[in-house]
Amino acid sequence: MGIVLRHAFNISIIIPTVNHLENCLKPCIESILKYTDFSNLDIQIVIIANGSDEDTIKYLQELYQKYISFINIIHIDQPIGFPKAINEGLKYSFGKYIVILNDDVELLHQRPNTWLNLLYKPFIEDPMMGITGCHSLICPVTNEEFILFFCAMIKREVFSAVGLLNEAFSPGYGEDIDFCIRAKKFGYSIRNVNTNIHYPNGKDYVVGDFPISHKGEMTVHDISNWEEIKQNNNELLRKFYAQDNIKKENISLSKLMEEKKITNENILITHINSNNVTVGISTKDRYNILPLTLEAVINQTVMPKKIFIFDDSDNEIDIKSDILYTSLLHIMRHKNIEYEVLRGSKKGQVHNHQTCLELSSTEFIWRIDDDNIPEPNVLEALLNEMNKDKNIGAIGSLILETNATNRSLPSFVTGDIQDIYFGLNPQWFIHKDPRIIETDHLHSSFLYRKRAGFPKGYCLELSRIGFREETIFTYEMKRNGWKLFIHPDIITWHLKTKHGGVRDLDIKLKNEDEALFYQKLTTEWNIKPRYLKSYVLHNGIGDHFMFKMLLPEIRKKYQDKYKIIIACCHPKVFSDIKNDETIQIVNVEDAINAFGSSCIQKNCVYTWCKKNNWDGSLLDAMRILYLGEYTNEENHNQSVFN
Amino acid sequence: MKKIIISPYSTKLQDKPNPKNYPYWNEITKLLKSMNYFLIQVGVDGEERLRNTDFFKINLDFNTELKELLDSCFCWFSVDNFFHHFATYYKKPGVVIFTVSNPKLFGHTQNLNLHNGEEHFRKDQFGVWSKSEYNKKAFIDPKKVIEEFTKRFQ
Repeated sequence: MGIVLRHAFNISIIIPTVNHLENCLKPCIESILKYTDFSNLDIQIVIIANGSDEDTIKYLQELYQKYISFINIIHIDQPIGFPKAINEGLKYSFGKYIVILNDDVELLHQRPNTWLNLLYKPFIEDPMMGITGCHSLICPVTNEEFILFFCAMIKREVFSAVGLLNEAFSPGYGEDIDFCIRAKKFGYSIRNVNTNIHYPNGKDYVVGDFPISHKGEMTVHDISNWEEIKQNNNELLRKFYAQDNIKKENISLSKLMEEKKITNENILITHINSNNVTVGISTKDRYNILPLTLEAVINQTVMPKKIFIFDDSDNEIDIKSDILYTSLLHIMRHKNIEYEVLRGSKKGQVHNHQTCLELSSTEFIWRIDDDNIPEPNVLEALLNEMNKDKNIGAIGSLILETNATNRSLPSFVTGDIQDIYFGLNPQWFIHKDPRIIETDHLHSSFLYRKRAGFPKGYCLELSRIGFREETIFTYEMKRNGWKLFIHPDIITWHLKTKHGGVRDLDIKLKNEDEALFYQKLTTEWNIKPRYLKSYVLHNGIGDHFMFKMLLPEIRKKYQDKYKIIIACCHPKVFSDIKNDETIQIVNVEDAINAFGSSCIQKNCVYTWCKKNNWDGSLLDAMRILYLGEYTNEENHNQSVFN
Repeated sequence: MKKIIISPYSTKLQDKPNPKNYPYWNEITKLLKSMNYFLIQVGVDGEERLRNTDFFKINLDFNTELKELLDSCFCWFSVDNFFHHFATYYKKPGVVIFTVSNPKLFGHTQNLNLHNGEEHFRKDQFGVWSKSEYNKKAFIDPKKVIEEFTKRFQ
């Protein structure tokens, strides 16, 4: 069975079916074929057979062979329920209008296409018409009118605006109420085109002016706990829409959007489709480089379901009229990636990423900075690791700068939270070992499990700069028992630019964020942070021994608060010193990898003596250079040569 | 018999003699020998053996063999090379024969730091050694060395 791709379809009729071949599906399909004109090839039928028996499948196969030009059959082994089946069918539907049809309906005698014309007519009359149907009711829970989805026509753009059917209502019941309410909140109208509904005595179907009969709840009686499902779904509706609970709950997409003041007006562009990952990009005044990020995302080997772009720019441009952006958005459509470009709240990336966390309906969220360019395999590799272990809360790739020499991981760089003020992150270096490594926190871009993002979420007390926001967000996951990993075999490039993003903002905000982070680290998390005191001895054995004479003083002064790193040419001089929590002997290459080659000059006692016209002993010069006024504890991540 | 370690050479330079290297070591060893000391020269591959020394030990592991030797010796003699820093670290006093480098900068107070006058010190004390010339006048008389040694260590 396959899909015939035809972009000219005007109407797609989606029919989920399980079994009930003889008493439901067959009469349904036959009536459609009888009373619908498919000769113009602008009407498509998509049948979602889920958990169907052999007879049903055989019938559908024959049907497909016979009507290959306009019938598509999607076969799913297990029953997936009505909302999921419709959402699945939407992936293969190309019409501008979607007709949702139960297989327990049968079209009644009519001139061809009468039923479709009746459903379609209101859309011509009212540009804001969103949903039409042949039966409507008032929901007793929400007190809202809704169209029953045993037969309904929905403009495709409504799905783009409000999302798919809410699968929380699976296997079915209430999803039509929820969808209609969401559509109405977006300003769309709904209309029942059947003006004369009545229930014939002794019959279990409704009739009226609309030429259809509906057996009603025939298939749902196969489900043993149907009453319980109805009760649960009514409870969901109550949670989502009952006035008392609106502010407490954050399950409903529309309610969330309402809370976030994301109105139709604020949604700049929107398009819809598949998968299990939402991408969240917060951007600010970086229209020149953002396309690189977007291009990298849409060229991933695994497609995300949706991309949220939160635009916090001060000088906003209309990207709908920009050829580069419109082209990228077109490619997203072709690749079935949903997208939404939203005006940010101008409260900074923290708030935008929090909104993304709340709005996304996928299991995973991939947060990416607007100056990041992930290699094409990044999402796939991260997802692979995530799927191996359900306890992984987040995982990130390497983040390498495009305009810097990328160096090997120095042996003293760790992902431990207590070493945060080293100012060095294992994600910034090339690892010799390609295996994933556990860490306490992640930087910049990473994939995370939505569940792991709650209950803490992002730290909204941070400023617009959001300094340390990823650290706080991911370490909170760790504290909640989730594992965090770095995947050293994949690379996200960091296009470090002087302007745009948070770099244009006040440095005072950064300091305020740092103070807040420090408070959290030391008080709330009870972490005793370590600083880095590093020495580079790029000189002879004799100089090493002179330095060694100072080591007791260095230890005494720094070992409580610092990790002491001695990068040297003759490590044997220090072979009697045990590498431990307080001191580590490494080679000079490690220091160059961490701090760049300038660290050699900055640590050279001879250069220091010359510069300062020193005429005392070399040992005293070392004492001043390595123990003296060059230490600045207030600048947390400063080493002696930084 | 008391042992004296002699570390007579500084690092070899590529195309010229190292200005720190003392040319009168054989006179020193002769005088020390006459004073009945047991002389052990230490160094690395390729270095010339001095006359009058009892042993010439090369490439010793400084953490073990050289340290043991240092512990067992009465005193040591060296130029301004790694050895005097090494011995100072282990608090064993000795004699350092300086030439163009200034002992005030590079010496340690526990040692007997000898030179032939400040006027011979090179101008740029912290410059690279390849730029310094070998200066014959910078070398102290070996008799003066032994005289100072005797005053301090006997």
